[in-house]
Amino acid sequence: MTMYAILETNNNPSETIRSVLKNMLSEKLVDVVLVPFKTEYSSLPMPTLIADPEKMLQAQPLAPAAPFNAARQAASVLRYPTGKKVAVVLRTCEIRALIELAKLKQCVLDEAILIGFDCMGRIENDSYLEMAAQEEDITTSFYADSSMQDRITGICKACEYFQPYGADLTICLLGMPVMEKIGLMAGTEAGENIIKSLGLSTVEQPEGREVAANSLLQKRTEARDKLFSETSEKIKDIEKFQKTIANCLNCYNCRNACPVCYCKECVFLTDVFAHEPEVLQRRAAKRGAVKLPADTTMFHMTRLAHMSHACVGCGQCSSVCPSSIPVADIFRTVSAKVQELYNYVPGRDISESIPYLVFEEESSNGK
Amino acid sequence: MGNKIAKILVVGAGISGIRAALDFADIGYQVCVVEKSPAVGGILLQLDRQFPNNHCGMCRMLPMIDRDVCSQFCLRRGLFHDSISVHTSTEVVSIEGNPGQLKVVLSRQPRGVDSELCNFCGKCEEVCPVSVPDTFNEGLGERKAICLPVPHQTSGPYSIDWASCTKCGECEKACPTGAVKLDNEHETFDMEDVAAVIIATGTKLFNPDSVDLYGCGEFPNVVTSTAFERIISSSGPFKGSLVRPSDGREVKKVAWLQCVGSRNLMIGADYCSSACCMFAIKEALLAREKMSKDAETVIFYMDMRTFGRDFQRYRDRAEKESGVRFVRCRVHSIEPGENPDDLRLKYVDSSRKTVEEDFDMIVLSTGKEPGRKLPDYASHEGVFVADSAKGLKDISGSVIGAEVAAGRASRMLKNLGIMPADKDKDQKSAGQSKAFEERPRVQVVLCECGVISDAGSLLDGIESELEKFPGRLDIVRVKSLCRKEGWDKVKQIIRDGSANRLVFAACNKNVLGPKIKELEEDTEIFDSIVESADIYSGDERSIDSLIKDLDMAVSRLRSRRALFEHSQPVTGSALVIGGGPAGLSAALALADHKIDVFLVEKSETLGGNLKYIIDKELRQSIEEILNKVEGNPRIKIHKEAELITSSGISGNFTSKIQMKTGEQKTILHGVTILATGGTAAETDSYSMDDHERIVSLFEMEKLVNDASFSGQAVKSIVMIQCAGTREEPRNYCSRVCCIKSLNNALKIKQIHPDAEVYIFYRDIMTYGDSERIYTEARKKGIVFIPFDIDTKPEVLVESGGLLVKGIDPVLGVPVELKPDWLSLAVGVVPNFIKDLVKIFGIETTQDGFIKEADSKWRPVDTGQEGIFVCGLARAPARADEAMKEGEAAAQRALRILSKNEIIPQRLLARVRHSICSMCSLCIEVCPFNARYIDTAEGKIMVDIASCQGCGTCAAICPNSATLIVDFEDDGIMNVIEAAL
Repeated sequence: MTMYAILETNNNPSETIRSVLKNMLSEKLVDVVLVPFKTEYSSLPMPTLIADPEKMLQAQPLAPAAPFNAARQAASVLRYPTGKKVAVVLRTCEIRALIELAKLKQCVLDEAILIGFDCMGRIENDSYLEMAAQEEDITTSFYADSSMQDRITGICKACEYFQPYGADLTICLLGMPVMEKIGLMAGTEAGENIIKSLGLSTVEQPEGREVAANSLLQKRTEARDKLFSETSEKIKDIEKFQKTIANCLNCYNCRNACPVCYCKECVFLTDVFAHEPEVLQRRAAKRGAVKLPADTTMFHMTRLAHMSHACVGCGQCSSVCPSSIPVADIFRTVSAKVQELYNYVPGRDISESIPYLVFEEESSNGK
Repeated sequence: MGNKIAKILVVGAGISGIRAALDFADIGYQVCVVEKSPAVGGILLQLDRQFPNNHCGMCRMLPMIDRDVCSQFCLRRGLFHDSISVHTSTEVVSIEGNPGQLKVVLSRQPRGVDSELCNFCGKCEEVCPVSVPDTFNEGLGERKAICLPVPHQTSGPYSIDWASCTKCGECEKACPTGAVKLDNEHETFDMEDVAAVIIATGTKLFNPDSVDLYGCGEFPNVVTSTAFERIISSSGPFKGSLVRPSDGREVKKVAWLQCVGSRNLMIGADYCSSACCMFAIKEALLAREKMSKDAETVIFYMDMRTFGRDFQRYRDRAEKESGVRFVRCRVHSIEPGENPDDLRLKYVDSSRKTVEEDFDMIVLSTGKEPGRKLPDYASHEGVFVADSAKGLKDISGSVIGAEVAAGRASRMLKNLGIMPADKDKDQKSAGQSKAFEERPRVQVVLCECGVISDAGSLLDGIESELEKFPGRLDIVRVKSLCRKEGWDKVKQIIRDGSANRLVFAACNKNVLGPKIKELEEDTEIFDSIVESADIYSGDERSIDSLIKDLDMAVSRLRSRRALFEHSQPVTGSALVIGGGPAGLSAALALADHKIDVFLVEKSETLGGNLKYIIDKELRQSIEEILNKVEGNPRIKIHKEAELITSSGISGNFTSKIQMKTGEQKTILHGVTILATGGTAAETDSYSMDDHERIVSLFEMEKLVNDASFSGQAVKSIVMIQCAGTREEPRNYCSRVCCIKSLNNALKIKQIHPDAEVYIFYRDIMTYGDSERIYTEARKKGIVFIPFDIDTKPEVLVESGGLLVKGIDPVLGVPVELKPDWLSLAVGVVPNFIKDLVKIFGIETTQDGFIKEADSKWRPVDTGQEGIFVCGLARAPARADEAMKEGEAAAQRALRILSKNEIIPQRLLARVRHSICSMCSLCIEVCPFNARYIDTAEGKIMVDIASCQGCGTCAAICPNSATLIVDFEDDGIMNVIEAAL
């Protein structure tokens, strides 16, 4: 039976979570907490590592914003064990990315307490800032007024992974009257210990959660399938693909924003793509003309080849693209096929091997 | 040939000969291989694929450490090693002299074609008017009198089959290079100062024509197993489609008849060919791949001899998953079926009904013949005979036998003070070539041929295109590159010019290949900075496509880089774990090579299962080795000691052992040999524990060999084979039980001639010469009662006595026996070594045996270079077999221990640490376990002794932090670009 606690919110769910996190720190259940945090100079909540319980006042654990995917920041705190407990409050896509990074030995989750929440999506940074200029507490109004939830990104609208996988603690919003109360659910023994240590009284999981989840899933899946069919058309063949990425500037923002693109240095920055003059001249001579940089299609194809099994669909690549290329739509569409082929959901389970490590030719023949 | 390097002669170029030759070459000897036939490869040239994986795999015998000295491509296409010279169509006439300085007289039949001049154009074959049955394809199809003796050995020159050649001279006229010489006078030549000779002449396969069995020769659709291999081979007469020889019709139903030419007293064949049962199952599986789903494959057999470790499961899969039908019976005869091309078999099935069944094709499982009588010189001192020449060995048995023969010869040489090449000799390394420090300056050498008439205009076209290439590119034309005069000119051009990369545009690569290697000697040009493109062979091609080839060659060259790898030092000592027969013989073999050995034994005595062995001769041979080990100053014996940690890479391990006292000792060693052994299995089947007169066959052996046995009243004894084995979870044959039970039975009959002995069996596994014991047992009146896994005999313990119930095989009625003793063939299990498996990171089978790198071609290597396995730890084996494996493991270990350092080879994986993210995917995917994390440095490292440059790591590394030298991304992309 899953351990479940009900928390009163008094019209301010953020405050409720803040106090839970604060207690975890002051009770020394964890040593530090990584959580979105409203800094002095900006309304955008930035991932921030908090050691002082008093600092928790500025935390924005449920803010409908993610200026970037914080998985890599979480991984840097968790790169190797230090003997301290680290709680990280992340969106579902961030937790999934973090689990992928752990599989890639970029971090170790033994000392981590993963805290996730039912994700209603994020708002693009510029819109969020506009809204913040007019409204003090966007988070509360976001959960109080469901029409605001339509302002989330297109990729979030098509995300069916809104419930956290692998979290020690899940902040349950689905099916809850969020302005009155929310749930706190333990997914692991570590999570249960925290609920017990905080002295929260536990109840049976309220029935409404599953119903709400199913109805949201249906909505999201419909949006997703629409996105897949539209995007498939855009990348149907190499000409269409090239047309879709035609405005790419090779700025590599998409790659920098990608939480699972984990290379210390991208191959596209190495001498592999620092072509010698003879090579470029020979290409020009053979084809008559060659666009520079010469490897734009190769760049996107390579990233698809490397990362589509691990893409968590966070959408940050699209958010940062200066040329409005639907990078995230392409990745989600291609990834869906790849992940289905390997029966693999990135971040679903840390004990699941990366498909390329366990894949055998025969195993796909049956499909 | 080196001047002071000792020379070894290997007679026979089948897998045994190749293995022995490579063994000697690996430890620094110069080797000469002579082969009677015109090709290298032996019987297996005709067999494309082997079980258990139904692939080939012969290449797995190629050197894995000193790879640069040997061509690393398909071994079935030829053996090309810097230290091995091969003389085909050559036989030994005589051997005289003393070991170390033998004089060998050889006789050679000319090929009729000069290998220096032949460019494989095939014109001779086109004009040859003589067509004869294709011997390579077992008479299916035809070939010319001048031909490539093995069609897939395209690198050997054409050869004349003098038996069919009419010397009409057409080929001589047609040859554009003057390579054909119609002179077949045998020439005799001497080879002096041969240090040792290995006889690896193998055996031949039984020819059913000789004894008029089953109408082979009479019915075209009755074929031998070898002919069947040719039929399904893609290089065979039907290009790999399974059709009948008589009418080319698709085969839908095919039967195998086992034991043709073996296990047949009527033709005096009182032996089992050992390999044919597995051979037949494999053929049936290969056939099924090519046949429609409803096709039928049936194997008619007497005993399905699945006596190797994984064989029974292979058979079970064939039966249950692939639908191969197994019928136990001896087929009487083959008759024509309804359709005269069909074949009708008449046989009695398991329900004792006579059945007539028609087949499209029948395969006769013609096994190996026993060893031929060896020539007198085989017993000359300094001459060693590999097991395969003695007959009846499967592939792994042949490989092990060759290792043993090579090992014994090199032990003798060591004793005589004859050394192989100096271990410290300076190896020229292409990696250090100055060329890599400079920007590429490419010299293109265009061959003007000399034979092809319109070469000039072709070259004009090529040259004008090449001039458009950016970058430094010098172009020169040379006439007849394949001749000495052409080649001398090339050397002159290299010396005079300033190019540091070289591209040849000429003909077949095989013509230039050996010459390019020679360039290293005379010029500073290494073969790693030479490329060639074939512009003449094959069909006429456009300038455009030839330019693409040249562009690719230039691109490859431009991306070549220097090597940065360093040598790895080797610690010249060995750790042997386990002091049973296998471990003892491994330790002694190494000590005889003046290698220090640490022998670690868990128990308080050496000898392992020696204490259970009763056979006198076997006991003596083990005891002899045991005494030598105990008296050998190079072997440090640690009894009652266990290994607790081990780390390091091949050539350099650090291990810790702990004694019973708690004292620990650190050992530095270059290799590890695991000989952890096995023991009699326990079983609770057949009420084993319920009665004191139900004993294991090992206890039975003790009993019948005890002096008191003759005094016992013995009327009846029952033996049940496969008790708790050959079914899950212990689904393997233990190899020793049948022979032991039969010996026990014979002993009982000898002491109590009137006693009745019944043996319940599933398949009697008297492989090889031990078939004689089975024959004798039947003659002595021992009763054999077959049973299936579903019709096991029943054992009841009744008041005071035993009751065994079974079914009479002839009458099909129940039989009840009340034996004085019941002996159960419980089989053997490996010792429990979970800790060791973890320490060494090696793989085991589901039954706990240590997995070898390859069960056929590398039977005593583990997947971890530098760690070897032998004896019962690997698979069930008789003690004599285990000891041979020990010697073989020692011989494999010598490849490493004979070196002071392991020198990096050209083709290696490399890590660019500065951009490596340490995700370790490369470590997980490396099939050779060549990668590890240096925890002190925080880096991923490559063990250059294990890395084979296969590129799996480079494929999985997302940012090319790991790469394969010569196959870096940029080079590959440029080559692809050039090809487009």
